[in-house]
Amino acid sequence: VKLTSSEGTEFIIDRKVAEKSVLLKNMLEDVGESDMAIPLPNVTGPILNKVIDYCTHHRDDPFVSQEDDSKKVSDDIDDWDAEFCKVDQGTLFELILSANYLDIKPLLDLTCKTVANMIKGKTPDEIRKTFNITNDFTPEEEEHVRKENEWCEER
Amino acid sequence: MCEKLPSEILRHVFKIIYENGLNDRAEMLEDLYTCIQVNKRWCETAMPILWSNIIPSASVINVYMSFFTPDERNELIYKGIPFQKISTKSSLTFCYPSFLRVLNLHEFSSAIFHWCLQECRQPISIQYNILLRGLLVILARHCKTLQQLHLDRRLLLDNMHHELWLLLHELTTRNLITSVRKLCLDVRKIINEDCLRLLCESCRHLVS
Repeated sequence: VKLTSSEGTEFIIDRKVAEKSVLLKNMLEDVGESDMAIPLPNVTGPILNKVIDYCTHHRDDPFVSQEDDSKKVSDDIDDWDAEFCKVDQGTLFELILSANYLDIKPLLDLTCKTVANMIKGKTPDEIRKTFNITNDFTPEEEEHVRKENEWCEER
Repeated sequence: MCEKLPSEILRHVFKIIYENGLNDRAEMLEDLYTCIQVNKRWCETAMPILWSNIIPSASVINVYMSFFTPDERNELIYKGIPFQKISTKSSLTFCYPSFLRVLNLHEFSSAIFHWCLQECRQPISIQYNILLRGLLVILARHCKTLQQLHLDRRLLLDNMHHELWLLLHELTTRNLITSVRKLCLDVRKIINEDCLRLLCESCRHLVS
C-alpha cells in the first residue's frame, strides 16, 4: 500500500499495517487492489513515520472494535508504548490528531492516556503552564465554578 | 499548544482520567476538579463527565436542591426541609442534573440521608422521603439521557425496595429511567410484582 504525506513524501507499507487504521481499511476495501498512492493531506511525513512505527509494532494485536468503546481504557502503558510517547508536546498532539483522523483507536487511547498522565496530580496553574493555556475565566466565574464543585475535595 | 486539541479529544482525555480513577475516586475527583478550573473550554468539557455519576455527598444534594422551583421550595419548607443554605437555580453556572448518566440508587439515597442527618431535626424519615421524591422529580425534569440504573448492592437484601418504589410508582419519576440502557439488579431480590412489572414497562431500551 502506498501513502503520501502532506508534503508529498511517499511511504510503502504492508496492507496489514495499513489496516490498523479504520479509515485506510475502509478505503482499501472500497478501492480494492490499486497502485495509486493514498494521499493523507492532514498528516506530515515525520508524524506518518511515527504512526507507521506504531502500527508495525502492533500489527498482530487483536482488533478492538468501536463497540468496545465503553470498555475502560487500561491504566498501564507497556515499555515500548511509553518509549514511543516520549516526544515533545507538539509531536504528541500531532499524533493524537492523526490517530483521530486515521481512526486508529489504540493509538488514540495511548496518546490520550499520555496526556491524562500529564494532567494528573497537578494544580490548575501547573496545567496552564504545562500546556500554555490562558485562563479566560473572570475571577467571579472561577469562584462560582469552584464553589459549586467544592464537594470534589471532600474526603 | 493545547488549544489545538479539539474538544472531542479533550473529552476523551477526561474520560480516561474518570474511568481509570473509579478505583480511587478521591484522587480522580481532585484531578477533574482541577481540570474544570483551567479555562472555560476545559470546564465545559470536563463538567458533564464530573457530574455523570452521583457522589454520595451531602454537598451534591445542596446543588441539586437549587433546581426546585419557588413553589416547590415553599412546599418543601412548609414540610420541614430547610433551604437556608440552598442557592437559586439562576445563580448556578451549569444545569448539573442534566449531566447524569449513571444513577446508583443506593448512593443517591445515602447522599440524601446524610444531607437530612446534617440539616433536619430527628426523626428524619419524613424529610428523607419527601426530599428523595422531590429530587427524583428534579432529575426526571432535567436529565433526559440517563443510561444506567444500579439497584443491586450485594450487602442489601432488597434492591433498595422502598426507594425503587418511590421511583417507579409515579409517571413523572418513572420517565427518568425510560432511556436506561443498562440495568444492574438482582432479580431474586425483587419481592414486589408491581415493581418488576413497572420496571419492565419503563426500561424498554435495555441492551442485553
